[in-house]
Amino acid sequence: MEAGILLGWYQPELTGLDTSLESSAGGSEIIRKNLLLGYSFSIPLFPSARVGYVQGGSYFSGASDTTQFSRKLIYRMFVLETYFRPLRRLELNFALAPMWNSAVIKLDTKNTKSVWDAQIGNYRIDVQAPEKMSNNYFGFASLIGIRYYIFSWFAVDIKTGFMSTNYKAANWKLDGKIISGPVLKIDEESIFLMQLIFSW
Amino acid sequence: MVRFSFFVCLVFSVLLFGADVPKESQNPCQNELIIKVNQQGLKSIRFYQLPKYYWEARKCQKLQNRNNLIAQNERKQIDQDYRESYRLEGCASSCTYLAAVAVLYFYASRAMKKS
Repeated sequence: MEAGILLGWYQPELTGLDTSLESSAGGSEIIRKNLLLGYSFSIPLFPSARVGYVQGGSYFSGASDTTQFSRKLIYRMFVLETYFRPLRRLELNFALAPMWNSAVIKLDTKNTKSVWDAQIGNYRIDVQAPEKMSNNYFGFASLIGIRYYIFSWFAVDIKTGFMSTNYKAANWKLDGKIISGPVLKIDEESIFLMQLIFSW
Repeated sequence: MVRFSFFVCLVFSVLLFGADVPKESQNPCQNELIIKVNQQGLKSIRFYQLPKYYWEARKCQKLQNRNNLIAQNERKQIDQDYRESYRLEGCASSCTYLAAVAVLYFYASRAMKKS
């Protein structure tokens, strides 16, 4: 069995979020947009194949005076990976991965407490009104990688490849209703993943 | 009175039978983790047992004045893993070709689109 910590990089075009709080947020755009953080685990299927799960996510959270905005794009890969070792400590691996992804945008508005106060009296209710919209969509990824075993139980794995998704901006859900969400260009992306793998 | 006699019985039984409990071996080289790793390889122990194994193995190395116990077991495990996966067979090779072709096709088509 193996478990890993994942750091990934890809280049999405999050055009639909350009008008949100995200566009005015400070900090590095690479961390906000291009970086994927996540984890993985897998079990051996037979000596040169393993099946596993890899999850990477891109996260952002920001706030203005009255609004807390956060969004996450989660990529989930159900990986079938084959591998062989041309050298004792070096492994080449090849992965095919169906994907089930999700995107979530959350908005917490603080000013609704004044509405509560107006309705039921001035109790200074410190509540937020969370609104969450989400979108789930399928995808497919194919990756080739190289892994170096520093110890027999610890390795560094670097992969490159692509992911193809069928994200549709018109498929967002808010309170059970289907609405149009931000246009994001994440249908065909090349990705790089680096993992620290612990195996036992 | 019953409680007191029960307590006395308990104390005596602990003293009597406790004396027969075998003490853990003080020799780190006889530690069960080291024996297991020597016999079945490093992957036979659980991940959370690794720190204890390294600790005991280091003590054993010092005791026996040999520095290669950890390295030897490590090499043995690496060799075993290599023997199990130095080539692709059967449907694993099909999956490999498929993945490699898919990635190459993606990059080739992207390059063609750009040019």
